[in-house]
Amino acid sequence: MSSHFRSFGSRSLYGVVLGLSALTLPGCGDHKAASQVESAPKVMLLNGDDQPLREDFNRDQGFVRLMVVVDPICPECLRGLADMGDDVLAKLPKEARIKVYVVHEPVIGGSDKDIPAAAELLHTTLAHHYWNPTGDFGRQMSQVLGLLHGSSPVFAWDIYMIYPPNAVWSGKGPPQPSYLMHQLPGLDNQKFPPWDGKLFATKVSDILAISDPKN
Amino acid sequence: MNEKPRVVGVTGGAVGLSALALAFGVCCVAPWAVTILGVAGAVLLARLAFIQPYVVATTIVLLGFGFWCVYRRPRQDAACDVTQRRRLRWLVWGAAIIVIAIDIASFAPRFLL
Repeated sequence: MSSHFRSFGSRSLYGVVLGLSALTLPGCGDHKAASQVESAPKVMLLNGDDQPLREDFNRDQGFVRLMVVVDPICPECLRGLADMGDDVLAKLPKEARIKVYVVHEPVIGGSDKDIPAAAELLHTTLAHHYWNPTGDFGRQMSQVLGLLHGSSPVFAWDIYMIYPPNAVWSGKGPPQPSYLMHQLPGLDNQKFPPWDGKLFATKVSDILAISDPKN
Repeated sequence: MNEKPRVVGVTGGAVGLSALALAFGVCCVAPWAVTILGVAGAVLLARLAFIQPYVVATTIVLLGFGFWCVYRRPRQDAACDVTQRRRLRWLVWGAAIIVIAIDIASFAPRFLL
């Protein structure tokens, strides 16, 4: 009798486990692939002169501009993108005058094929995605920002920057952002604050409020 | 009382947790994370990476408990299986070497990058 109950109990347990597994299945594979196909972002190749990013950046003067540099398969970068999507972009009003540029670089082996999955974390199709296979942009950005670990330069990736509406890209390298956060080891955290999505969202809101033409 | 299940459980747990600590520690430099865990899994791994020091501390505590089990003086009335006790000591020492090596490796990216 007791073995019968035990058998019934374990069958019920199997049933519950199988049922829960079945419930989670629709969230896997196909659904994701389908949504990627539907909203696959356009990815532009960055050339040696940082075009078309430079052109887009200057054309979007008057907007607050967020620039993010990531590797599309780096978990920390993906976390940064997810926070950017959840804490910053999802909470902005629809009429917010903001543009987002994401530069993807193959620092730990990511490729342009990995960009659509990473781009989904931003929950927006408004972001512009660029692929920089040579990593030149990261080296340039490192020089512009003065990213150093001791006296050694630190390659610029996993960084999150805010540019005010009046910023212009006139020199060879990108302009200095008005605010920067990062997830890089070895940087001076006083000078370069570590990534905090909620704090970054506050900074974005502050700059948006200051630059709002209605104010 | 037979110490074998307890010691095997504790050392196995320590090795398993040290592997988890390694996954947290190398998550930013590991290109495999997205392949194995998917984008959402990789994000979760990165979000949980802050618990790595606590996981490492737990492995040390588990090892300490394992050593305590195999080196404490047996009670007078307890049956003493000397051969098994020696094997368990080897097991704990082996696990300690593995766990400490993995724990150190899990912190390496912080200092190497």
